[in-house]
Amino acid sequence: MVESAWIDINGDDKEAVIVGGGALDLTNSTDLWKGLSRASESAESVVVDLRQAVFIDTAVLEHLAKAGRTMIGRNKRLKVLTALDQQPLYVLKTVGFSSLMDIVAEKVDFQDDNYGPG
Amino acid sequence: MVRDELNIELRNNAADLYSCRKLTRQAALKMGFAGDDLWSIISAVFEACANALTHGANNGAASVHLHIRPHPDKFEAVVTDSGKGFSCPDNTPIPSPSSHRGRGIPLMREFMDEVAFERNGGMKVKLVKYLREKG
Repeated sequence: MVESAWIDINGDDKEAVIVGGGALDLTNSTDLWKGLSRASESAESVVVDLRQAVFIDTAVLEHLAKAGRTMIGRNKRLKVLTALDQQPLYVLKTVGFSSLMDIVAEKVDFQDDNYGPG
Repeated sequence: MVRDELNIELRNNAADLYSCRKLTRQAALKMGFAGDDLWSIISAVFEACANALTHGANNGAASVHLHIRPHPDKFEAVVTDSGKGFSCPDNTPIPSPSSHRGRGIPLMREFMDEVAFERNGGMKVKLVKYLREKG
């Protein structure tokens, strides 16, 4: 069994929303990058919604860093939504991404106990 | 409470990385780790396994083993591979946020209390996290 992960790309060149849920890592982060790279180069606002993500690795960090830098180059800021008390927020804070993008954390109820905090 | 040791063989696929994450989490939880310390352990062990699968292939076939060894006061994981190894400079800081790459090993060092690399016919990475006293 493999943890479920999903990536949805919504919106248009005005407002793009990339939603990533489950465990996001080097095995699926290319799909995240497909939407994120285009949006960060052209959309007025880009939101990466990781509120349903329970894990991110350095491959995901790499893509977020690229997109964040591209947005800053366009005088805009990438916005990342995360859940409180989950690994993605902890990792994003550890690597200091608050200086590169706007990170907004909120409480999220996870339905699967396996995904909840320890 | 000390539990049994775990030995896992990993191949280069998503299911094995899932097992790495799941078994690491279960072992750390049983030892009493929680919150940021739990996230640190899961993240560091995953990065070590992913590095080994990425860089540890020998003639195209990765042979990676994850050995989780619980102790009364610490979590210990050893990741070994059969490849030629990779660069692992000491005390390299976490790259700046705008940097694209190079976070794996610095994050392992940030997340764990002890990280040791040994090259001996392959790469061996030992990761240790101590239980903090409650209260």
